[in-house]
Amino acid sequence: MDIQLKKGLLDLMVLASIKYEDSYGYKIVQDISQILDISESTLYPILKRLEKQKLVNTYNTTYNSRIRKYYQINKNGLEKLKQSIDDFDEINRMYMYIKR
Amino acid sequence: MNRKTFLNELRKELKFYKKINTEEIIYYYDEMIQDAVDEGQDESLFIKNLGSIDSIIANIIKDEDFIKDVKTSNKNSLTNIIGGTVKVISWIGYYFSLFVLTIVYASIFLSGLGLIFQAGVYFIVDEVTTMDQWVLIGMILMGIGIAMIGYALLANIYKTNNSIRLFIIRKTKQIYRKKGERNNE
Repeated sequence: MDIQLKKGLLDLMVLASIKYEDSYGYKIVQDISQILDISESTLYPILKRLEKQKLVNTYNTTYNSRIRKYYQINKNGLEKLKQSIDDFDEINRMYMYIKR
Repeated sequence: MNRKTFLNELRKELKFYKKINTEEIIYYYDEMIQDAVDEGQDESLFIKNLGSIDSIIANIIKDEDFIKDVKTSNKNSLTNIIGGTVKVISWIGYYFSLFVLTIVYASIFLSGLGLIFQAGVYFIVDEVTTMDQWVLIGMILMGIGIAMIGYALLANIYKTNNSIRLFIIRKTKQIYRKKGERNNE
């Protein structure tokens, strides 16, 4: 698959993985791995990017007497996901046209 | 490799990339490993599956946003020039070492073949005694061994060329940093 396309989709996958509940690095990898192969080192730049684009908020909590960083989707992130669904509808129409 | 060793090595390597937020990455992997262990995964196996430290760094570097960040944050034109020089020298160093290694490995491979060929020629052209025959067979076997070593090295060089590139870039930066420190003194 085209790298740029895949990169965009991976960003959306990560956003979708925290759509309903806040999550942390390890759990995000585990959740997404059920659908596609994602490595821990691939996730890091994605999280960093989402954070920089202000699509997610982060906070630290203590777990087992150590700090764990949680990622929380914010209004912009949810808006982005919603937008992507509209985009997919458009892509789907294009796909059907190409495929016919 | 255990968690502490892995994080130490990662920190040591990340030190060479000024623009990377080392501590943030260390926290990320530290948390990741501890979470994996808490979930019942084997620590050293998990770390092994994370891939080599070079590939981890390559993943961070190849991220476009990171590169864009570096470009925009390099407001100091002097840094830009030195950065450019380091890059050019690194690339020259990279291709040069790749070239030298290829030649060295290719010559090992060819000398192995040469040995086989020479022994073969003796066999055919000369009237050899039984004793000589054993020597020639030994030569052929040695030739096969040497040729195989050369071939393996050659095949390996392209598999590891990413690590070679990172290594050269790191070393060039190191030399430049030392030079800069000396100039500052």
